[in-house]
Amino acid sequence: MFLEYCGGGKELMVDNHERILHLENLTIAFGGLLAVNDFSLTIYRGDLVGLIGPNGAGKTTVFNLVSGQYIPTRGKVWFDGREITGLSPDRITALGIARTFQNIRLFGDLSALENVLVSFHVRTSYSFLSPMFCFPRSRKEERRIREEAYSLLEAVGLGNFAREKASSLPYGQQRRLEIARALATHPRLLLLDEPAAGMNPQETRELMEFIQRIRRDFELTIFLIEHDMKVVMGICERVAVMDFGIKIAEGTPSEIRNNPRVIEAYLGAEAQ
Amino acid sequence: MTWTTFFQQLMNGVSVGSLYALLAIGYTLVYGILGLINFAHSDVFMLGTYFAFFMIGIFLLPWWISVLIGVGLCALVGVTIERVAYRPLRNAPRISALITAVGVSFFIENLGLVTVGARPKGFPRPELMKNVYFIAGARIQGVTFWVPLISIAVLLVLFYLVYRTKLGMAMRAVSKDMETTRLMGVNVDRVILYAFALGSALAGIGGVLWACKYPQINPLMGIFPGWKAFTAAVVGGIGNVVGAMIGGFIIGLAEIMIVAFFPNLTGYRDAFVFALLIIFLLVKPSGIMGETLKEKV
Repeated sequence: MFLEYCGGGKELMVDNHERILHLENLTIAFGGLLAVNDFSLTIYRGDLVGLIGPNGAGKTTVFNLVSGQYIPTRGKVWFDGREITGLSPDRITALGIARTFQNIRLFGDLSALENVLVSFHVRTSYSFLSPMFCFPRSRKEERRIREEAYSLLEAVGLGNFAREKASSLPYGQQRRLEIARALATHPRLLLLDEPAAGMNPQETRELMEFIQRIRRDFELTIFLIEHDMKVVMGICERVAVMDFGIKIAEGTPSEIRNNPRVIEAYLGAEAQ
Repeated sequence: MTWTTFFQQLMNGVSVGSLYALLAIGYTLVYGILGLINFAHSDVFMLGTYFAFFMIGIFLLPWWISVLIGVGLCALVGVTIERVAYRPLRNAPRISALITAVGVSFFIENLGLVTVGARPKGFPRPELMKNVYFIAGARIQGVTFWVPLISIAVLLVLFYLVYRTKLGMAMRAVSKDMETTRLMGVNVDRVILYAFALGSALAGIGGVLWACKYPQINPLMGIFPGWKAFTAAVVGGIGNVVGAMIGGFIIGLAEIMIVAFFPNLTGYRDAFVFALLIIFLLVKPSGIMGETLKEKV
């Protein structure tokens, strides 16, 4: 189906697109339950792909498999031409995959700025303890990091809240802070888990623009889970649909909208 | 009670309290990050004194150098305990880790009894600690004067580490949410190792200073200070570094003052501290600085 998206089945077009994430027959079992079952998907550099499905379909589990929190029972994860199945989450983050969470998981006691700074660990060359000894190099590095963290906060519209405790920020800003924190790891692939959850229509519209903007500014590939169909249909170029751990459809938003299996999954068989 | 005796007792309380604070921080750092009470911590405290003792006695190194090496070795022991005993149980139920901690503690104590013997040894003190000072008419021993000063200096360095450096930030992040910190690209295992190294080094410093105050060392000397420091950590709010320090001073002062004001209760000195623990657990289990745990959904 993605062949169609990439230009009517011309294989040459596919080759021009560089694969960034490739999931190959991913399967994970929790006890007897197959939370994700034989799930395959390919995402190309620069794509904005949505993952939808009814509650409990296994969407977040797919994210957990990509980010390394779960290790698949079967199947492989490829990122940027190398296999990352079974790598630890911090290694995978260092390779360029960052994520946000369905229920916000900020470090509540830390300030907004510190939340972003934690993510800079990945890329700072100097050791943990060197700031103690005031090496000029680490001083300079420290300053550079702080400036970069500030500019990230500004990029997500939180420039004035750098010193605020993360837990004291309003909900919508916490979501933005989570994205800023993910961006600080310099990802090439960003996984957004229900970014619009709990937002009102106005906030949701702003969020859609925001996602488009960071995708452009940070040259990101974005893979997002969303329940709000306006968001999915509005910004995703391609959508995959899951139900009971299985991918039941994949295509452009308009294809998905008219796919009978998708309608069945969402509304139940009787609706037809 | 005269003013001078009160002042003497106050200094004494501050001095004991600062030692509890040093030791309590090790408990609280590890608890904050792993949710584990590291019972072996009090034995690292004991090991610090023996390391220094042998450096002085066998290698004939100067006192300060010996102490520094001892503290370094303590950090190494702490890291080893984490690596060997606790890390394999990272995903095991809490109770397994807790029992392991008790086991490690017994192991170190008995290893000490077997190798160096139960007979107490005299710990050499530098001249500085033996001096006697007269402050505001009160006669203050060098130990009582220097121990809190050194402890407080060490605590200030620690606060700088925890609240101003990348490592400290990573430790606070890990204690808030280990999984998420890992997803932000932080090598969590390394942060945990550093926390153990830091806590154990503090225990080593505490041990040496304790031995300066009570210059008889034996392999079981860590047990009571350890329990009291643990009490201090709970009173202050376990998991909270500032709370551990406050708790340490409260326990130290309370313990000394009860003896100062009610000399015939001297025998109940330890019981009093643990009564305080029970009261806190009943009335304010989250401690002075601790937050009440919010239900996680």
